[in-house]
Amino acid sequence: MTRTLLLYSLILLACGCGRRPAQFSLSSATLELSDAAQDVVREELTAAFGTPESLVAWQALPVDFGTVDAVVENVADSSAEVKLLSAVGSDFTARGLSIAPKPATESGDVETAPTEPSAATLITVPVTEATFKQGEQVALVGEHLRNGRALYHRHCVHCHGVSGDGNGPTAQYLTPRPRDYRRGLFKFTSTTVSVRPSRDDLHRVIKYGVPGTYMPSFMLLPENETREIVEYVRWLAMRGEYETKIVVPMQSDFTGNPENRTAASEAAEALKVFRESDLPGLVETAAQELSDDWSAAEDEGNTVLPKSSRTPSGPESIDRGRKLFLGEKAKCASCHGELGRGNGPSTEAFNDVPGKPGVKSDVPGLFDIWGNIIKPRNLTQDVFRGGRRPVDVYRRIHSGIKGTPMQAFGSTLTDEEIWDLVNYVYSIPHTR
Amino acid sequence: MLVSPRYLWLLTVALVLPGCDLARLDPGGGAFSDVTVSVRPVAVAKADSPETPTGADPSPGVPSGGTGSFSGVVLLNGTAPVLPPRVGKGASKVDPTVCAAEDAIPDESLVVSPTGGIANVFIYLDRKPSGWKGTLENSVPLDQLACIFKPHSLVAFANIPLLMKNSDKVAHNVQTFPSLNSSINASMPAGTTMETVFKKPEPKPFAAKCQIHPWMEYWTLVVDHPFVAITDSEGKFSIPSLPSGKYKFRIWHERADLLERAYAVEIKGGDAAPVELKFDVARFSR
Repeated sequence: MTRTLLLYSLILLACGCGRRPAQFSLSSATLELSDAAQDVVREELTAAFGTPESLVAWQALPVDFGTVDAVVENVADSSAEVKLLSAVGSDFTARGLSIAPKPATESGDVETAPTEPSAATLITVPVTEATFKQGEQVALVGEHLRNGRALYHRHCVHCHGVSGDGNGPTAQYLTPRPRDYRRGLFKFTSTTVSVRPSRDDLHRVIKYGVPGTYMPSFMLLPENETREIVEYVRWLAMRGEYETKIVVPMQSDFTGNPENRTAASEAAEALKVFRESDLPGLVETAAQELSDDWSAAEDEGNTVLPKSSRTPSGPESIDRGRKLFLGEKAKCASCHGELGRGNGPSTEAFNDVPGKPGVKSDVPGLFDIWGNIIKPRNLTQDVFRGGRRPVDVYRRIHSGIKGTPMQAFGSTLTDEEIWDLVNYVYSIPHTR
Repeated sequence: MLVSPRYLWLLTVALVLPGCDLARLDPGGGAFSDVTVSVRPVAVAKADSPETPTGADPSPGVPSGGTGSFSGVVLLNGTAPVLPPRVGKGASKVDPTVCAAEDAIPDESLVVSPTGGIANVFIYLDRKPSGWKGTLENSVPLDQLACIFKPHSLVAFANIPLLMKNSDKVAHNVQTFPSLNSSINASMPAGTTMETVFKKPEPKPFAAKCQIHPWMEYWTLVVDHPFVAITDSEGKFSIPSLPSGKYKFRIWHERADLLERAYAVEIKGGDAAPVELKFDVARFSR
């Protein structure tokens, strides 16, 4: 009896009390660097994005972190009392947020007279680094990021993982695998080739889910919560891309592979030079590229819009579409098969394993950019993962599906030809 | 009975599962953790560093120091393996009347001449020499014929359009897999051309494939300077007009990855003596 109690007490103690905090993971490319180089990368990533428990809102990124204007009333040693200037929702809490100096307006002037708030709300905020003066205009930053993180950890983390690497605890049981955000590539977008997904695209995927996969519809979430999840997903994608932009230039010189490594002292010196002279430039360029790339996704000029309205479906249009499907110009049948069952001749070939050119895969089939076997859509099933609206099917044909072998036909097929194909694709499930 | 082993086991499991945090049995993932958000301002770039980058170490007064070429031959040390063709004659499942109809499609991943010269080896500077200013010309266009990409290896210049042609009788597609640039996946019907632009230099050559004919592959290196060469069928290369100074070249092959990370070359106002670079055949195995 005493022995049993002692044994159980030991088990409880050994398990530890309390929750282990979530941590961001490093990509496989980073883990191939030398240990010292990994430390440099980890340090920079933590400075730019933080940890899942202490997030960093890097203002160089085109993320809506959630900003509330405020003015400083009192300043103490490690905290400041601020008065909110703009109205906030009734469920607003400043818990965990920080204040930042309000950036100067575009004209270069800093606003002098703050507008009187409708209801004076005094909030105490911890202050760590910058010093603030009484009466200074500040911004209370991070509401959407904090909320998005909580929502993501509640609804998304088990499949998509803490870092958005598509490798959460549930992921190993799923086919197709959950999306790995870290390349900034998302399959079902309204944007053109080489452009990131727009907020609206991600919103649609969360709201309507991806039929035919394990991604459910989150239509029951309020719109503002979905928006916050979208911002957090974008932020995670930027973190993944940022890691790649820092690590890829380091791969040749700071690999952990002992064959190519230089002598330890030389490597330490080279890493020091890299850190001091190359890294700041890399950081600035990476921030600029992320800002340009993700802002371009919101640009209406990058949205794929049909140039003409849809040809009404009918026997002639479907017949033209069928000829294009089987024909030489588009070669849809080479992957999708002559009957659209997703079993075209390209699926029988043994392709190279992604990332290992020349090494043949054991199983035949096409691969996506994330390294998974991917089957061309079986069009007889009437399941459209990216949405079943005519414009959705048009976009799949016009701009392809990013990260997959599905090509972009926008520059080789005319608008009318794409609509004929859309009409044919719609007809496939109903004509056999 | 309540302290019998069975119930105590149940109690242990019930306590251990939530990690002893009885106060809040949250749905997992730490959704209710206390999270702080701190702000990082827009990064301020440090002043341009006077340090020389790892790729080049030119001596002062680069333009007046004269130029020279770096040339040589890359040889295989050992017997070249005989590689089976990617697709045997008449064995193509896709477009059999065009692909591998007349000849088998060779495996170009390791091409060695009878004298031991290795083709398709890239020799390049990791970044442009500091202080170098010059113009870049259009690179060799890419073409597709008999279901083979020609050339197998090419150099593209950053921000200069690369012309891609499909002179074949069947439609192909080009999907690129760069590290730092955006990838494209464009369809190219027979007889068409298109242009693509790479915005950033790449640290290594990257592969590009045709998804319709999956054996089709070619390699591209994107640079923002002209000091790069690809060995020809004899393994020979030449990089002319290098400003005087010390350089570290990268030497890369698709099978071996980086053969040399930092091959030191010095140009002293004239051509460097031609070099013979020999690499063991074991490095080219997959």
